[in-house]
Amino acid sequence: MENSLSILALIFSPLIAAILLFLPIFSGKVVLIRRFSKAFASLHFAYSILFLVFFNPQIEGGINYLSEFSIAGISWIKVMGIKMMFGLDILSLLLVILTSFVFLIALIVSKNSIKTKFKFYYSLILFLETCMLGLFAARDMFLFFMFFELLLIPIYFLISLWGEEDNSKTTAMQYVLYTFLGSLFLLVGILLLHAYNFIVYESLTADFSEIIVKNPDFPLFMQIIISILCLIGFAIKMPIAPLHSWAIDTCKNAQMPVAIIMNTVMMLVAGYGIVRFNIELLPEAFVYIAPILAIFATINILYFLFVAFAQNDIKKIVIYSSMSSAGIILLGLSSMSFLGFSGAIFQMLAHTILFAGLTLVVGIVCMRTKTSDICELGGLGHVMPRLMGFALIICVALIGTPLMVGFEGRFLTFLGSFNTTIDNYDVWYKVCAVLSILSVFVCASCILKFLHKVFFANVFEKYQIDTSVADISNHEFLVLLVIVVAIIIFGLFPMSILDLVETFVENLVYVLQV
Amino acid sequence: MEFFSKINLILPEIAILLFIGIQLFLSFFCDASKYKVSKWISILGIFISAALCSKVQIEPICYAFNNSVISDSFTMFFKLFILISSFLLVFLTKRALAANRSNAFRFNALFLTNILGALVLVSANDFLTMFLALEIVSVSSTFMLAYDNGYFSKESALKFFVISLVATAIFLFGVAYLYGISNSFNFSEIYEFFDDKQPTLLYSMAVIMIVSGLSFKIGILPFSNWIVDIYEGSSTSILGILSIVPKLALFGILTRLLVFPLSYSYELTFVLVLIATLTAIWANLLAIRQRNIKKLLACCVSANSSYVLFSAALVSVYNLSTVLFYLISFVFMYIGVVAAIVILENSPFSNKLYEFKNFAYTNPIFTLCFAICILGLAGIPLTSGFVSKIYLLSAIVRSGLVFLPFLIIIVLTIVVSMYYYLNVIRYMFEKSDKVESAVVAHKTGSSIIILYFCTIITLILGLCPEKVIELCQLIAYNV
Repeated sequence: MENSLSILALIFSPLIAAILLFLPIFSGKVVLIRRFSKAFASLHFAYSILFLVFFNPQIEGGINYLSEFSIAGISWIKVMGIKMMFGLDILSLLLVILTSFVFLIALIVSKNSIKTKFKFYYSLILFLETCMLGLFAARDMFLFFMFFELLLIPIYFLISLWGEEDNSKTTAMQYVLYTFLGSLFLLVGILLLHAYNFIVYESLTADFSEIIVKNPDFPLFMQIIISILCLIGFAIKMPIAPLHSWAIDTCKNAQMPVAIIMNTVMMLVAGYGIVRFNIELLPEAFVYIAPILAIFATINILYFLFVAFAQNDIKKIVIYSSMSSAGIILLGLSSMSFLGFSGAIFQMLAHTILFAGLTLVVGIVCMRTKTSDICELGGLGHVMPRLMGFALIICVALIGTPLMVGFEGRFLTFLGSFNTTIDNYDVWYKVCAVLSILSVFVCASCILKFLHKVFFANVFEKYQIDTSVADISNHEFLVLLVIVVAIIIFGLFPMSILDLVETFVENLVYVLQV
Repeated sequence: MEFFSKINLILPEIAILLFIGIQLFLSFFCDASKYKVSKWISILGIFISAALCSKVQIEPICYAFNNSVISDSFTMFFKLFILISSFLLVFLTKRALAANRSNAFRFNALFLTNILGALVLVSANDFLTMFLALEIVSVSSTFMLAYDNGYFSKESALKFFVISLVATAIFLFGVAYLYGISNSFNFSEIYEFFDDKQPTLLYSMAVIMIVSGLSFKIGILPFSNWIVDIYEGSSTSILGILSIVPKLALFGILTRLLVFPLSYSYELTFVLVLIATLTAIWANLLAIRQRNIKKLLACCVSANSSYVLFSAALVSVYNLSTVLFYLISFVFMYIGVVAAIVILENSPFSNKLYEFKNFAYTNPIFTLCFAICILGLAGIPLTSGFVSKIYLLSAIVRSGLVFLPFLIIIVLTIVVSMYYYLNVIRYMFEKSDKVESAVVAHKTGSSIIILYFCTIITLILGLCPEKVIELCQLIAYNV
């Protein structure tokens, strides 16, 4: 059964669909384009679920569905040992399914926000999906980097051509330059790793599973340099505290579907990269770097929440709190313990579901009322009762209420950080954990402020008269319903995910301890 | 008799020389209305010359004419490469020829002379032959620059000529020093002379002088200011020729010089790395403010030359192969961009970036190809630019940790370059109220075919570069 599932089809079918949109059948037919993309995305999501069903965790190394893309039997750049090798281990698989899910949502809700250049828009989104899937499924450093860099192009166009504000072109340029800078640091890191691997072992390879750095011949300072160079790239992508200035403008400018993608899966790219490069490939260096990273994570968690609390723009509240939530992933990864890693991976799932929901809610509010200023909003619960119901559930989950998906990730992360077993640094980590726990209060006050100002309080008269401020439409209802169901199901049964990743996490901890 | 037995080594050059004669001869008899014939004669000449390359002996390495000419797979690679790229470039000269019909035959004669100089330059094995070829290239370049009507082309030709003379003087000074030390002009003899000796300061000075004299031609710092001025004055197709043909030949001879007679000086390596880094910074920063796409291209050529020089300075077989691959991928992307600009010149658009507005919506396929070539220059994946970028940078990384700071600077300049490349695309996607549905494809059939061809090559080299890289490694190994 396993062989009949083609990972290449999974990755490249969105690209093919994107190209198909330029066929003459689709010219000028907006509804057809929209329905085709939605139908395709649904099928794609179903197909990606099949990969989970037939996943076999017993395979050596945990990597299923290995397959190489080659033209006429020749590897991509064989001279440098670079292959277009794709494969899924459990972490990649989870992220691939999440990506497919998020893109499905984004395509469904595109209906109301996109008013021009439909064909180009839908094909760019599908192209972006291929890039994301390829990034998560890549088994080769350079292939990973290729998709990392290729992401920039569709996002540049999505932001600059459909941006909401006048400065969207400048913002898109800023985004590209900032991220391109990060990706080139990553490139230097990858090249150094590749070169040193060749010098030490004389094997020319860039495959994640073939690169072994654990060797006294591989100088430690070199590992640390490579690790830091890679981290700079991921820190910009994540973003980590001092390097985040691009994210605010970008997400504020992006249309709602693009903002959903940017706030969810795009932030996981960096977390995934840290697992692949800094933990799996360079474990010795990570032991030295992790305590510093924990500090940055704590700053991320707290600082962004305080900033979010001070914001008057609801879009900015979402962006800042999502960056703070990404900080929790970072804290979990830097804690180097079983619980921390499990928490981080669970938080990736929770982050995606919750922020897809919150971005959607905020996007709908902004679209209907044509403002994102919190002072201009109020009492929307009277005019949009159904939206308020969903917003309430999502916000409560975000605060971290038990039995909902936002709880377990945080709990495990803080616990993992508190109980870390690294010598000399246990007090350090305990301080980080305690400080991060404070974030729960800040988060609650921040989210409740948002809820209160937007949905409760007195309703403005203009919103009662204005007929465009209508409650959610059917397709938005459907999407929000799915999100809420996911929030509750994964909140009630977190072990469904944690069991899946258990072997993977054990392996990570093992790699770090040896 | 030796002369006639070795004559096959210079058959391509002889063919070109013959066609220069034909062009000049016809220029006396054909009137201006037959200007199109001259282009086809050039094409025929280049084609025959390329065909004659198959007669040239390259295995084993072959020397001729008192060791002044060398022939191996490396020279053959560059000769064929020069001929192929000039074959593509001829098709772009249509507009330049039409603007000055009465001189079309003389222009084509100059163009062929430039190719002749480039071919001889690549196969030179002593400094005298090299100097001769260098001057053929410079002088023909000067007159090609002056070919266009108007004041600016004359001005740029004069500037080019004066700076070229200064650079040549410095080059000759270095050669004279080298001759003083080693008593020879021949590359192999100089290489053997220094084989068992400690290189002296005089040697280093001579070597640095030679390279800085040559750096004029590839647009590297000490003499690079001319490049932007000149690019503004002349028509695009001529600039395309001048930035490809002489540069390829120069890199061909420069890499050979760095491998053989100039390889004993560590100072030179560091000077070159430093110069390359400075040039990368200078060219990329200069390009940021350019709103004229031709000036932007000038900076782009300079910047890319500096990356290639960086890798070439750290001599090794692997680095040499990356240099060759980078040149291949760069030339095709660059010719694609030049073809696109030539097409733009034929339509109501000028060279100013802000006139490209609305362009993506009226000419989608053209914009796609143009964007692929531009993004290829920026090193975006799926194009050959990406592969050549990682291949070149991997060579620099392998050369040692000492160069890591320079590498980081180069990487930063690549980020800067992303800005101005993307700017071009940004303008094309911008909407403007001026509805001007200029469909550019008509009357420029050959240029648009060249653009498509270059785009396809760029994509193919980006997706399956393996065979080409293997070829480059084979050639680099045989040097």
